[in-house]
Amino acid sequence: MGMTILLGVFAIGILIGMPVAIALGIAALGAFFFEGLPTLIAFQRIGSGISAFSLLAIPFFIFAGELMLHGGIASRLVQFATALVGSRRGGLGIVNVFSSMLFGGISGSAVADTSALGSILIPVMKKEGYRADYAVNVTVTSSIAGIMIPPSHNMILYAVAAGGGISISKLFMAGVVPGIIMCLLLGLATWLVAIKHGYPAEPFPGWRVVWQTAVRAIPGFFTAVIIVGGVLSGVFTVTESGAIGVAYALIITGLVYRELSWAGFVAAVKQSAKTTALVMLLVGCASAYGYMLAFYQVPDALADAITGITDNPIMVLLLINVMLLIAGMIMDMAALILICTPIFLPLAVQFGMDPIQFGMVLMMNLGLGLCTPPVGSCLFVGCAIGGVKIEKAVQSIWPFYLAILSALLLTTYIPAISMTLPNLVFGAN
Amino acid sequence: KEWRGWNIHPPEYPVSTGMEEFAKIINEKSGGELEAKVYHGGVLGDQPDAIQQVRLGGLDWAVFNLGPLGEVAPEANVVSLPFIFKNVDAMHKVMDGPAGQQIADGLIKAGLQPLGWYDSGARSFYNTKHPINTPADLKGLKFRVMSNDLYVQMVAALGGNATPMAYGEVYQSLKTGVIDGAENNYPSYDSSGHFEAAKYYSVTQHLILPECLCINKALYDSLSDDEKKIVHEAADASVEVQRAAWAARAEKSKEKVIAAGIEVNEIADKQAFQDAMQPVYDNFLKSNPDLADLVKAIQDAQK
Amino acid sequence: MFSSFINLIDRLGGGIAGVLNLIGGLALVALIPSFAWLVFGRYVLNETPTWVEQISLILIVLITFPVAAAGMRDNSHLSVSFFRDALPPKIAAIVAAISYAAMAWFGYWMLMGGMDLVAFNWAKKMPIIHISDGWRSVPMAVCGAGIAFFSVLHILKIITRWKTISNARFYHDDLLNKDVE
Ligand code: NA
Ligand code: NA
Repeated sequence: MGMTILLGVFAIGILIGMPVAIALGIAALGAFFFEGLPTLIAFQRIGSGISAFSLLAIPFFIFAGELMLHGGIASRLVQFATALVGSRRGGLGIVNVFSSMLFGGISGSAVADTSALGSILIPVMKKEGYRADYAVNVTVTSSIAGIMIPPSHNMILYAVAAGGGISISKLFMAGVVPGIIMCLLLGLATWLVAIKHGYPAEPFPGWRVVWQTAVRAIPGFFTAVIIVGGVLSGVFTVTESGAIGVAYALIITGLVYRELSWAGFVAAVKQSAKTTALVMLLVGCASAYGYMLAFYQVPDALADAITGITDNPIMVLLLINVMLLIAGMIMDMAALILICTPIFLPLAVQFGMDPIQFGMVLMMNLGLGLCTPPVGSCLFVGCAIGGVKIEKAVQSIWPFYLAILSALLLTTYIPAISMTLPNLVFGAN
Repeated sequence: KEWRGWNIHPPEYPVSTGMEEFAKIINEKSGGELEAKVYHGGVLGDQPDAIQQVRLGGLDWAVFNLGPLGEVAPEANVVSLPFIFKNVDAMHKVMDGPAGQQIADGLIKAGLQPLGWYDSGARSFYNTKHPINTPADLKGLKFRVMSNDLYVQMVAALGGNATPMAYGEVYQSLKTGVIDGAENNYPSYDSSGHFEAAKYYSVTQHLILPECLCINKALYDSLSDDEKKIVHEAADASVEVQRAAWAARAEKSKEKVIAAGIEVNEIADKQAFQDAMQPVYDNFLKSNPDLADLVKAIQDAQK
Repeated sequence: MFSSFINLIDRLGGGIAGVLNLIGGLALVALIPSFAWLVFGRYVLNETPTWVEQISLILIVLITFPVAAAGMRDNSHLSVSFFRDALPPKIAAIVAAISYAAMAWFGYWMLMGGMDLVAFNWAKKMPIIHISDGWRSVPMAVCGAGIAFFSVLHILKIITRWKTISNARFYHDDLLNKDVE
């Protein structure tokens, strides 16, 4: 009965359009009442879920991404990518994928990536004769790369949800190869569709222009180098790297590029505080919810149910993927990381998957969910920018889904894709 | 009603073995009247939160380290004073005597009924640079400590740079030189993998913190005399099991890290370290004047 | 008469949300120099500032709770609204009102829980910085009050706009961006 309240109230809350965080909180609180536990503990969980030191990197990454958007770093990256790869057939589409790899690596947020690059690239693509739905499809799916390529605040969320035993630096390294594979596959899809539609190529501007745009883009790109390099070299901890990255982005956009106005700065602070608050409230409420999940031993029950169906590791991992995909279609990423990690991680580990590899599978799965209807915030943002109906965009998106799915299956069944790089850099323990 | 027990350690840890023993005896001896269960791995919250939960009755019993218990009962803070115990045997003698009872009384006032003292070994310094033999050897080194004034002051008094840091960041920070060292007992030094990064382990044993097997005070008071007797018998038996398991585990970890090429050194003259602690003790007694007697009683009991 | 009263309360709510957002923004900005000082202290002074960890944990709470409460006003929290949007407008409005009522209930308990935590931890001191641990939970109580207040305000707006809801497709976000007539 208690478990029914916990799961049922949450489901109803989601159905009637309640904020996910508060639906989690209400469901947890209901279960607390039902069990006669002191409600003080529910709020204690919410409070201490938020005040965890490792979460402090999240506002910094978000803030750095906002500053890059408002301060001209993102637009310079696009100019560089255009000069470099714009001369292929469907060049602007490939530029889009390539820019996501560069910019997403810094912002660490697929939605930020979609809104930043989409608002620059989608109008240009439309003007050059690309179909709007194609422009939206490319923008939206390639923004998933931002989740995979470090730094990524979603990976920090995952490390926290997994109980803090996973090294964030290792997770960062683990995302690089799957992220690049995903970009290559998406680039391939982009190119093939472009050929089919007969899209144009930009004229190659010459290496001088490539060089000029690179020089202009490099100071901004160093924000990512500082954050990731600071962590890897051990000069800073993850949190400190985030803070130093923000300080650096402020100097570059304000003093070097001189593009960050006071109004832009205020807007960046406001948006970052808002995003941080929404994510953190989710973390807190998910912590109270997770308390009751542990209390009712839900993860054990689910593991028993699944192992009752099949003992074959390949099937179990497939089953996990399918469940995550479905969950990703109806809910947003941060909430699902927090809810699904304690439930699925033990099961994946039981079937021989490393927690770091599972993290990558989880990110890709939930990332794909960000570009699927009915609930996909990247898809929504992309369609809004492109002025395309969601139904229309989804009709032609399947080659891109296929690319992400292929990357997902490769990452699920070939551990070396995610594990080689972190083990190389940090040792196998 | 089932008693929910909180434990931060994984199931095979010595504390966990002790708690399982406690639960088993209670369930058997009461013929199923009492039922205790352990939730391992900290799934019901971290330590400071769980302390509050047992005080409130949201959880029924637990094993807590006396370090964090100092925040709810000042008496418990006394054992966090660096170098207050000469060695583990001296700690057992003190905790099982009148001074231990005084600390227990402090916890009872905070709503926790102690049933026995578990071992969590002795914490010593380890670092990436060189062995520590005298306080001067800490000079200029960055040591990670837990966020507790006493530990920060301890490292500062020894001339080191105290760096509070989340436990999860320590391994990476040792490897890459963000910090030079940390401090812990052999089993944690082993299981955290810190020994791979910091190869000099110096047996300072500056902190010998016992852990407290305790039960919600109101729940304890509601028990009949017969039930209380069962609870105490179970607690005593579990203390024995836990201390033996701990000793075995510590020995195993010690052998493992030495086999891995760690350089261990004993401290020839602990007095120099103890002398350096004078400002820490003075500072502590200035803000807790009523604990002076307890500190003295613990010191006298080891003479 | 009733609707102009709601308008007044709504304007007050806007002011409150502005203050809450300001608190969160300042806390976010304050994090940057704190960490810069931490790195500077550790490398240059070889004396790590020990207060940064504790202070930054308070700052993160100061970002989260006030701004999350303000987010209730403009419905910026992540939610899944497509089931509700598929309903006929008036039904959707009723469902929205029910959901706001549940949120107001939660906000009330968060206010109470936050105040209980403040009282329960008041005697405890935070390590290193030595201020009462109770302060940590004050923003939570404020957030609870904010959630309850804005939820009730949403219900009142639905009531005052009841007649016009049937004219167009009902979106709860829409409701907020337009002033109450
Ligand atoms: Na990223
Ligand atoms: Na989705």
